[in-house]
Amino acid sequence: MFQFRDYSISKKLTWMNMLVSGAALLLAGVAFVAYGLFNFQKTLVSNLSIEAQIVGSNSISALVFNDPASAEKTLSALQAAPHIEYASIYTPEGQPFAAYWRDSRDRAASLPSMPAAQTQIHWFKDKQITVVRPIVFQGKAAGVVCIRSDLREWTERLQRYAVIVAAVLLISLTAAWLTSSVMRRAIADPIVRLAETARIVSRDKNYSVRAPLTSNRDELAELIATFNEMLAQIQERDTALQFEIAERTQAEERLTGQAEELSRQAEELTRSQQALETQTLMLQSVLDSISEGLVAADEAGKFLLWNAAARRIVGMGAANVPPEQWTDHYGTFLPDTVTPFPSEQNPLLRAIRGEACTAEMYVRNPELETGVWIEASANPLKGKDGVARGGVVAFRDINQRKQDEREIHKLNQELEERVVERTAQLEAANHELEAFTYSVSHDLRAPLRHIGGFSKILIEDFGSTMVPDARHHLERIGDGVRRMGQLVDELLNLARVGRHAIELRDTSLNLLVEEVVSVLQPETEGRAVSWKIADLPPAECDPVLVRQVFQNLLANALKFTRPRECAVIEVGHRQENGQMVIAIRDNGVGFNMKYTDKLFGVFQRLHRAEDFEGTGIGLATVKRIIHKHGGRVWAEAELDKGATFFFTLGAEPTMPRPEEANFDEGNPIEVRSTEGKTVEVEKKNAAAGAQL
Amino acid sequence: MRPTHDACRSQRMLRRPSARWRSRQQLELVAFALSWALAVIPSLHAQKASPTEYEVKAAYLYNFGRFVEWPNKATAPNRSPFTVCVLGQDPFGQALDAILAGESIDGANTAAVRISKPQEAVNCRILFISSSEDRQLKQILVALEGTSVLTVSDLPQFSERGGMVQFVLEGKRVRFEVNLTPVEHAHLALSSQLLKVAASLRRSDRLGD
Repeated sequence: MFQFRDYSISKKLTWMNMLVSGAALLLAGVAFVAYGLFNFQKTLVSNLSIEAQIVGSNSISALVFNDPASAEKTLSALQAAPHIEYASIYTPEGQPFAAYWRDSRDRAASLPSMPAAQTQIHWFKDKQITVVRPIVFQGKAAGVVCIRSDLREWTERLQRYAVIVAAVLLISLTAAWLTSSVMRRAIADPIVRLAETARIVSRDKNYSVRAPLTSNRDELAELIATFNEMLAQIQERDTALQFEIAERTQAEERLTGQAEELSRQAEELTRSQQALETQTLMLQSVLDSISEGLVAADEAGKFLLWNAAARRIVGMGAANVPPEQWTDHYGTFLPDTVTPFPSEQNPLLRAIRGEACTAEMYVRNPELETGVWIEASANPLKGKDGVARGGVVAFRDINQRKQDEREIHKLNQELEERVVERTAQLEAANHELEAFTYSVSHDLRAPLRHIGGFSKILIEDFGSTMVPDARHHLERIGDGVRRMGQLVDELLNLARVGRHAIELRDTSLNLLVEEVVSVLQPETEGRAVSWKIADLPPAECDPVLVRQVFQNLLANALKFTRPRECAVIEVGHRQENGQMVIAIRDNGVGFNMKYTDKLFGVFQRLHRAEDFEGTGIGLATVKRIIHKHGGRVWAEAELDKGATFFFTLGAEPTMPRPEEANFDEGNPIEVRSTEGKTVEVEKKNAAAGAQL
Repeated sequence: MRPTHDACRSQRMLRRPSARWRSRQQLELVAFALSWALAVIPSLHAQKASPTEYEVKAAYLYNFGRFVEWPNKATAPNRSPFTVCVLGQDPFGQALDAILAGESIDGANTAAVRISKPQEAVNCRILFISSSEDRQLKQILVALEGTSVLTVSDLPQFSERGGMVQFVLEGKRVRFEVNLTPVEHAHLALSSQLLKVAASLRRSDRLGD
């Protein structure tokens, strides 16, 4: 079999041309011949039928009047038609009446019997056509005519037609072949060349070759031009493609990496979602388990959260109620318990507006047995961008606290009343005591002066006459009276200090100290005493009272250094918390710090009277004076190592307390000696510094 | 429907319902056979004893009517019936009546009429003059002058004596001779077909010669 598909285009074109034109012509020819022959056959039958009719009509009288000779004469006229082989006439009864034969040799054959025909019929048989036609005369059958013709003419015509068709076909095919060879040059050759170029490109991947151009200006030329252009583009893209492939490969690798990363992230996301769910559940249970009520709402005032405590405290759950009706719905009131809580001040609404706030409310609604005091604290709920997305309010039942507060308030009031009362009593008692002390001391002096005076007179007047024992007893009485008088004086002094209204003025402390030292001069007779007095800044104080302080403290120092061969008494100052502290140090016997709280009490003494005389009122007086100035006084000491007394004048600043402040270590305290020499006392250690 | 003669058509009309189922070819064959048989049977019956001379002549009389045209004045007033008259002694017996019975020519029914006087023949189309009238022939023909009656007879020299158609015998075959002159006088037109089969034609206006 031909594989038409595998033929080259030029061959295909040739074949196509030939087949198309051949097929068309053949079909046209066959149709033409068939139509012609069909028409001719019809004509043949019609002609024969006419001949039969003519013969029949001309034979009617012969038939009617039984004249076969006449009929045969009529039939013999058919000799003019050479195609008619045979004709015969039958009587209506079917008897042969007359006949005609083209070839006289057939005449010998008997007449064919009358064919059965009442109307005209015809048939083809053995290259013959036979027509049988009844002869009718005035509506009555007069006989039957049968006429037979050969088909020579028909065959001749068929042969002629065949020859014509064949000739036309041959000429057409030749013409078709010629035109196709011309067309082949115009169509197939460029295609073949184009195919050749394409084959080279496809086989060698050589994009630099180009298909040869044709001189035509048809689609093929356009195709070739486009092909060449395409080749140029492909050549360009090929290089780009190589580069791109490399890039794609890289990108794919990256993509794979990213996909893995993504799936890992997805897993993480799932995990964190689960964690989130767990957390949400936990959070819910946490929220429900806390005792504080928690309510959250979005910016439209729709509740987002309403925990169990909130439900318990308010007695209701989250209701779908617009914010302006919350007050009515939940029954919230101002702390006066009767004014409905203004909506615009509602902490949750304020939080939604972005304010953090706290408020107390009173809640009373039909769901609650009793009204509830709540303390609410609201905060805006902010998104990551810092914009308020709603608010949350936490609140708790403060009924108990409210009650406690009321009780405390009541107690406090009672207490204050009592304190005022007691203070008044105490003040009255103090005044009475002071008055009593003063009057006692004052009234004691007169009898004492009598006793002292009279015992002195006894000794002066009768001393020489008295027995020595009596004189000794009298002298003892005199000592006692003197001591008692001193005691009374000091008590009076103390009382006077209490009653004295202080007068503050700028005072040179150094002047006061120098006065006191000079007053004490007699006490130093026969002793080695070193005074080291620093330059003291002036101070605002009552000079009379402060002089008393210095006198008492310096006298004490002188007294307790008596056992020392060389007594050293120093007066200095330092700044503590912006306040001046005056210090008086000695190297005397000191005391046990255990008893420091007793030191400034009235009649309190740490030493036996046999060792050191004294009334036990001096330091009490000092304390009272210092307190009158609003200052403080205190002491530091160690047994047998000396003592230091400190005091301040004026109220100290509220913070911090002096004890808590650090001494500035290494800061020398200037001490000036009585001789005016400045002696620098180096502190050996912190303790020593503190002892200054 | 292809043309066929009346007998055939009537038969076919009768047979049609039962034959309808058959193919056209079969239908035609059956119809043909039946009509053929019906058309042929009477003549076969007549032929059985080979038709007598007068039977043939009776048929000829009828057939003359079919090949002759009468002038309008003859046909118009008395269109019907188409009378074939026999004057004198009737030689046909029943044959003529049998032939003419139920036939028609030019739409007029045919009928045989026996007459005894030539005057009675005025309304006849065809007048057969019996050989018994040999002696009155001349008077008969004169009496018919001016009429359009086709005169037929088997009298010897009938055509020569002024008759129109004369039967002659050629052996056993019945033939006829025609004298065209009286035919033309009577304004009758004889078909060329008829003349073609005539044994002889003549022109003689000898009357009563």
